[in-house]
Amino acid sequence: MISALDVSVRFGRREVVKSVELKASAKGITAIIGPNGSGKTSLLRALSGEVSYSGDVTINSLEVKGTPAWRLASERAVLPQFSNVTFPFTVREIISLGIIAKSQRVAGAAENTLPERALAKVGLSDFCGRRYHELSGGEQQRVQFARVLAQVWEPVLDGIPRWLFLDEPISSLDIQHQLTIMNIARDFAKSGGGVVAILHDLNLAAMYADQIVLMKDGEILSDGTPQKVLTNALLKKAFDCDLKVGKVPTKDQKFILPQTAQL
Amino acid sequence: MSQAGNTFWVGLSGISSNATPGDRSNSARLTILVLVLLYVGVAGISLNVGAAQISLTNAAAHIFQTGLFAESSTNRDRIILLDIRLPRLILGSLIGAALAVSGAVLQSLFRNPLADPGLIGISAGASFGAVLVIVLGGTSLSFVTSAFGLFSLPVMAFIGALAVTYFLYRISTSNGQTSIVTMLLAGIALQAFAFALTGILIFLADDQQLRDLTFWSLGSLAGATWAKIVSSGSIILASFVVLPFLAIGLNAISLGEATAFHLGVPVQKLKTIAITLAAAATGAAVAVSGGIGFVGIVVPHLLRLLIGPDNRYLLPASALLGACLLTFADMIARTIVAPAELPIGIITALAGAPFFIWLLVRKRGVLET
Repeated sequence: MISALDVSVRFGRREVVKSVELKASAKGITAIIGPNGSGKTSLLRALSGEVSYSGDVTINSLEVKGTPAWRLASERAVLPQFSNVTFPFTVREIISLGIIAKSQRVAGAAENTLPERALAKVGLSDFCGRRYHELSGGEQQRVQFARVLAQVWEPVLDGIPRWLFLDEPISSLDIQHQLTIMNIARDFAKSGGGVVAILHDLNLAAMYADQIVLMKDGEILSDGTPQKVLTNALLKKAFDCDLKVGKVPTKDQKFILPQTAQL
Repeated sequence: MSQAGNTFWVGLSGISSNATPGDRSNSARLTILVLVLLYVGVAGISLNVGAAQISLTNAAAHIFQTGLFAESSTNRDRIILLDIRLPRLILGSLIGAALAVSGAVLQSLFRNPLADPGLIGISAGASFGAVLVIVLGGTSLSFVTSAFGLFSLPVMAFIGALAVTYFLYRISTSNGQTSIVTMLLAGIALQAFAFALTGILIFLADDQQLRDLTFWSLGSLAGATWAKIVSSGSIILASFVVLPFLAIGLNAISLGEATAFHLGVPVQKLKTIAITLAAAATGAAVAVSGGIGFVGIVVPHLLRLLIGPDNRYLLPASALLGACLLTFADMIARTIVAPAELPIGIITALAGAPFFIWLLVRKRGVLET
């Protein structure tokens, strides 16, 4: 369980997250959606302990503030929005960096093959020996996802769920690999882990999320099941454009179609 | 490096490469082994070469005091070896290692392949600290010399280096991202400022101090003594003991400070320790030898091409290659115009600057990677 109580984040004088209350449960995917600049990334950074915040954030009842980095690293892995690697590392070396936190506790022999197994999951088998800088943007994003996955390889450790924090994990991916990554997140949650993901694709959020948090101007506009949050009125209020929310015929699932008068 | 040299290295790494693609640790270990052998060779030749001819076997006999060949050598040889060449070899090796490792650490820390203590003003800051002691050590700064004694020069050089590094970091970094351009420009400004302050001190200096300053700033190992090895060498060695523990954290910083934190690295602590140690090593080196440029940038660059950027191997390999390079450069410096000597800084700049330009041309993306 992740819980945020009265959490605010300030950058200088500007308050980008305003007294947010949020609970997210393991065994499910929590999607954070909202327009650009609505405070999604800042909220995720507060949850991961990366920025200072006021209020309380707990991961598995561990207070994030004041907890040492290595301890947090065994509870959650974070995929940032942008990854910029300075020196010419190989793909294997990048993924090996995911398991430097010693609390990882992958059985000895398994640790050597972890990079291969993590890469195979994201559809990049045989990429271990490649130079990271020579990969395409989408391939780099999948390598970074594999690194994050390696950090919390076991979704549950000693009965305690571990967490994936994903900031736009599929922003540079083609549709096939968007589904690949979301399916991995889905499996991680089904195995008992927790996932908090910032998504811009409302249809994928509708497909995969168990809980959707809709943000606007640093505040949470709505929080609940996709059924509750994905409504014409709420989306219009958040995104300030016309969206038509429909229902997939045979399923209990919504879809969103953009509308514009200019066509 | 020549074509033949490249083939040699590829062949050498081929012997050790196993079936684990992307894992360069075996070829890195092999490279370190080769560098150890190279160092032993260069050090042996360096003890042997000089104005006075002393054979290698006799040199070994003197150093280990076996007396085995003692009758064939003179007391003069013994003094030349033990009081001149050996301290000079040790000091040169330590300084070369210190400059190369400081360069590698700063490059990882600033996420910037151009961070060289000589290029971005850190050595200039260290020089200012050292000149302060030389000029004002007898008067207004006598409390420093009485407090630190033998260590005054390296300690003040360390403080100067640390001050510049700290300002550079504060100026060029925001939100955990270091701007390469801002850092280079800030480095130029800080370097000019440190030179200006040093200039004021030189203006104030008397004749004897000017002589001391000139000899010191030429960048020479000629004054190597066991006392200097104790004062500066101990500071350099102390930083070498701690730096290997930072290697994995420095690797993680290559992914950005935020990601390093997410991976479990205590980023602020790591940065503080790494900056302090790099400044201490640079300061101690500059205190002895004046400014010696390009070792800190050329050595790590060359090694990254050979073994990759993993600091667990890059740091020890840089120390070894830096030691080899400076020992070799010093050998040239004291023989090429014998019995006179060229300042060693001239040799490293003459060889290092074209090599650096070659690196830039060969891989134009060096600023982006």
